[in-house]
Amino acid sequence: MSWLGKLITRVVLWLALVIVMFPILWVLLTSFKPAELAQALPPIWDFMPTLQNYRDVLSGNTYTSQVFGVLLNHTIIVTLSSTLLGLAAAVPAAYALARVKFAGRQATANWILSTIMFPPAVSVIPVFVIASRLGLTDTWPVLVVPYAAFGLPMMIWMLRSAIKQIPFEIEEAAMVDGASRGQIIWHIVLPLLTPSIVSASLLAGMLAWNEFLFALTLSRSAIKTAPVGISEFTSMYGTQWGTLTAAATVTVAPILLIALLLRRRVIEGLTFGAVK
Amino acid sequence: MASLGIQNVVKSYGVVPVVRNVSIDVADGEFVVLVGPSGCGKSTLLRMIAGLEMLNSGKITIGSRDVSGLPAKSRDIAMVFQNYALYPHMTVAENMSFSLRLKNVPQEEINRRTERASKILGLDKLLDRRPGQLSGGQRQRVAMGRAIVRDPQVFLFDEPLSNLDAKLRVQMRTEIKELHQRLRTTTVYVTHDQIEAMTMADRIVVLHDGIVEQIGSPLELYDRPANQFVAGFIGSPAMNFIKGHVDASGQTFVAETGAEIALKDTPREVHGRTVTLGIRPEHFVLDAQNGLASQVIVVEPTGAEMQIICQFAGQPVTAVFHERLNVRPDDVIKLAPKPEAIHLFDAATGVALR
Ligand SMILES: Nc1ncnc2c1ncn2[C@@H]1O[C@H](COP(=O)(O)OP(=O)(O)OP(=O)(O)O)[C@@H](O)[C@H]1O
Ligand SMILES: [Mg+2]
Repeated sequence: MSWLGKLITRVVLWLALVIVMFPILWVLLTSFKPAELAQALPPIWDFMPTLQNYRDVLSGNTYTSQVFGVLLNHTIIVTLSSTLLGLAAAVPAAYALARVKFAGRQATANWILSTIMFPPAVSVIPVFVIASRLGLTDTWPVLVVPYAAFGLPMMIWMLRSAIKQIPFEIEEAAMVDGASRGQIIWHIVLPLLTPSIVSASLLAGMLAWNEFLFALTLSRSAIKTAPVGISEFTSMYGTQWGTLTAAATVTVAPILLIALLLRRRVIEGLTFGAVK
Repeated sequence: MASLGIQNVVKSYGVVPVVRNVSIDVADGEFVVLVGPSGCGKSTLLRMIAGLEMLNSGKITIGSRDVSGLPAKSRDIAMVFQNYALYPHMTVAENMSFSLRLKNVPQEEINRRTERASKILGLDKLLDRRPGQLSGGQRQRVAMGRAIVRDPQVFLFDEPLSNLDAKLRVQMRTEIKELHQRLRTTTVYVTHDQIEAMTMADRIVVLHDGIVEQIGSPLELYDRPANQFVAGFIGSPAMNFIKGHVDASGQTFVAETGAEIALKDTPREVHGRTVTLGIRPEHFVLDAQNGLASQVIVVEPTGAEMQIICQFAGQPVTAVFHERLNVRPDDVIKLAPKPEAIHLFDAATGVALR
């Protein structure tokens, strides 16, 4: 590539980056503004940064029904449980689809892949009806199970590709060494699968962490999650931009951090499907 | 350690038969090499012994135990795979001790056995490395170490040397042979390299299209091949074959071109028959009186010997001489097969006639 081509590429990439990052930077900026400047238009650039918004959010000094920290805990619980539940189902399913010969294996795999395209919003009403009939509204399973289900196809697909890349001879060597199928999965396949498990969990975890529609529809207070909590900073009396953006920052920060730390793994995991 | 019995074993994938009615008896402590061209069913047979493939019919026994229906994990055999199949996430020591740990062998015993195996194989300095940090030859040794620590009934090797360079291959060949002499574990070794087969085997099994062509000691196979296939497969460079017939007196072989080759002590039944004559490259002599005039096509000196490819009785043949000859392409030499080293095969079936 010529230097001009390189320059153009750079410029375009920087532009794209700025456009993509703008909302996040805006949120971050606003969260450090004193409350009275938060929604000034045109925006005010020279202000004394303050942590007051964060203090308010974390201490519950807001005009919302619940302390935000509690909602964050709910999010953590729901995310971890749904991801673990998803993994518990995805690993055996992926193993079976990769290694066990049965009629309709390819069709099953393709069908699972196709469900990635299924829009979760479509199922929110049925899930709501079922949950109400069973008296499950505002209990953990009502979020954990659907979240696990939405992450599942992607997890299965990623893990299946990863398992297929493990030479089968390694498993055969373990069989000859006296290992049962269970022991092979536990001692051989799982350790070799760790990077893919990490990236699949991260992606599924992000889905659960950010999910809004189901959380809004199916939770009242016992399991209300952070994204719903953020939306409550907007009430009929107006929007508290300062605390809202602080809450949003607190919510996004951990997942952004983890993603940054594990970015190489995630990319590896994401491109698995591409090679095979 | 135990003997290994393979009785009338049949295996097909779908309708394609891959192993057809193979029977082999391997004595306790014997080193048997399965050899044959690519795709003849060697790996399939080995994998059936290991329990990685199930038989369609027949029986496999280890000692007095019928293992035909047993899964791999219950057969007490060890296998070295062509690409080693080491566990990438385990150290050398962990790779070797995996099977013992599965069986809950006490840690002391595990250490003792791993140490012993790693000493034998010269791996003591590498015990903490992972397979990714080893050279090809070292990986090969770890794969063998994994087999040795188990002290299994039978060792199986599937072309364990084919991923190594030529020099290392020769070295490992010797090491495996030494190892066997030391441990005396019943061994089945698969290769398509007939030199490996000749140098390592107590007995060789020649497989071809899923059928046993011949079983015998290396020299038996070399001296008395049962048929034209074995004759052509064992020995390097390969035996030359010339079509023609034996005259009524049994004294002379007449090639299709009319060229005549002297025979000795031919059995009666052969007289007057259409046959294929087989002569190994190393069994030609230069004979100024009785030799057939043969035009040299290519001369290939290897240092230890000279391979000469020339036009003999109407077709190209390879001759090998240990003395250095001063010949060039297009020279004409007088070539004669040693009469006592000539093989005759039935022209239609390829069965050896003498
Ligand atoms: N899983 C399978 N499905 C169908 N056919 C197979 C399968 N495995 C092997 N075959 C066929 O069986 C035949 C024997 O295969 P095998 O691997 O035993 O050959 P081989 O003697 O080990 O050859 P090589 O020297 O190339 O390793 C081949 O023709 C192969 O195509
Ligand atoms: Mg093979």
